[in-house]
Amino acid sequence: MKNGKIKQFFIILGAFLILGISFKVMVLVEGLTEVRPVNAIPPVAGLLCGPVGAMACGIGNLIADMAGTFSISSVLGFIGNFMAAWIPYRLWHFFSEERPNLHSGKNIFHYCLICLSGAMTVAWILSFGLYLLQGIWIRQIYTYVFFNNIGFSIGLGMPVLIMLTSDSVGMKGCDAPEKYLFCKKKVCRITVLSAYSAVMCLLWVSVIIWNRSPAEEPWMMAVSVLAAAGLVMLSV
Amino acid sequence: MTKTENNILLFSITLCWAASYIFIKNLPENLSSYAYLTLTCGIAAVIMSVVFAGRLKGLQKKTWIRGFFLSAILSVNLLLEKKGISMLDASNASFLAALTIIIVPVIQLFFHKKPTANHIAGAVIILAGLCVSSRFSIGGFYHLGTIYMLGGCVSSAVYTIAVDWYAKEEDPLLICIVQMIFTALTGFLLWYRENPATFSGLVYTRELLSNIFILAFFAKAYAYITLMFSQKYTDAVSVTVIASTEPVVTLVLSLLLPAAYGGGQGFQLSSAAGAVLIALGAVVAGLSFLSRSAKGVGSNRL
Repeated sequence: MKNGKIKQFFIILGAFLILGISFKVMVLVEGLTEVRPVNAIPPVAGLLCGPVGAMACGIGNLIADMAGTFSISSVLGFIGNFMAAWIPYRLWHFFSEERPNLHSGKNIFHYCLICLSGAMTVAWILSFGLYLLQGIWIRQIYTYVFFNNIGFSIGLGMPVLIMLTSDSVGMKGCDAPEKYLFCKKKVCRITVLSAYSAVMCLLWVSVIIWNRSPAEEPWMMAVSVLAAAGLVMLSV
Repeated sequence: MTKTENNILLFSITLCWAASYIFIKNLPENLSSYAYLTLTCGIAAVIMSVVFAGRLKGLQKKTWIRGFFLSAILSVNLLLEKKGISMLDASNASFLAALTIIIVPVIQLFFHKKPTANHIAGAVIILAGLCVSSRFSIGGFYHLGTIYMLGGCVSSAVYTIAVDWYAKEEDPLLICIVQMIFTALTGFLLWYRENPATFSGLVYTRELLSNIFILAFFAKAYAYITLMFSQKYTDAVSVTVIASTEPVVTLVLSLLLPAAYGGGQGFQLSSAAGAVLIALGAVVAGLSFLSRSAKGVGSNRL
């Protein structure tokens, strides 16, 4: 890694640790989640620093967990926080030629959609992952993780991104990924992203609105397999 | 930076300040407000100095003087408001504190800066919203506390206007760091006068440290840096208008947050009606349909 990348990694890691550990006192589900303004960092880190930002968020979350909530579910936390930064990085460049910025209404809308997609994905990874690993279904995990992610990534992440990409600070967003293994053509991107979004929305409605759980609705796990396939296609 | 971007920045500051009451509520009751000022501003100054260490080389004498001036106004504002709040009902005090929205344009008149028709209309609607939501009593204003609160309000308005001038000429980060350093020092001197034991007199718990750290990070470091940045690109009245939407944000937070974290306070019709009026006033003030001149139409870039 070049010096600049190392510096970026440690700045994001430091910010993640400071915010992550400070808020360990505002517990929502004992041992599993809390009020997390730190969730503002991943989309910004992903959009500005790409893979380095995503890795710093994943590792940062793992270390922050050691301050009170470290368990087997921390592995899911690592994946979830990595993806919270990785998805914005991948999705931004799916449909935009520009480097990430919020200078236009269209880009702000784009950012909000990306955050929505990221929040649904992280909530799904953590709640369904916990069910898969330990057989425990906790609806609040899905709900809190989703609202933590969407609320802080828009309410706090958006102004931070605006400030960092302003003329005064002058940070440039990350370049587009060099390769897309699966989604090389625009048609393919639209198809995969539409299918993935539809699956994520279905799961969101099932959990949040209909209050269903995978324990009583096995189709939710089957749909999750499709979602996992879609996520892999979007991510590599 | 576009106007929309700038409004998002300003609104995020309002969000931070409105949410900070949750953490202030979690602080020990016996924690002196001077200790609070010293700790939060001190930590914020350290964080900012570390993160932006490279920029500190650009510090000039002029920046130190301006930063000191801003911190002095901020300290006067804090002391006057503290005194006023202790003498008045909370509803009367919060209404008086919100009068900044009127005082800022009035002070600016002395500098030949006229508010637009939309600003005036918006401010009147916001004031009406504050009257409805704060439910103050007229009799409660016949008190010395009102003078202190108005003094605090004037100093807050002077601060906003001074930041408006300096932020356009200085590096927002540097002036913010200097301001935090001097505010922490002022807080420490006052704390020392009140209780010479200062730091050694505190009982350090994890809750105290977490809440202080959160407040230092959001209510001080983030909020003031963002304020300086956004004032570089906008005017003082716009800043005050967006800041006046704080009761709206507070209402939304109290509905969304769990009771353990300061939420769950129920829904009151007067608060909701006041919030709607304030939001409407902010929208009216942010637009330009009443202004005769069509300045800026077609360009969102600041």
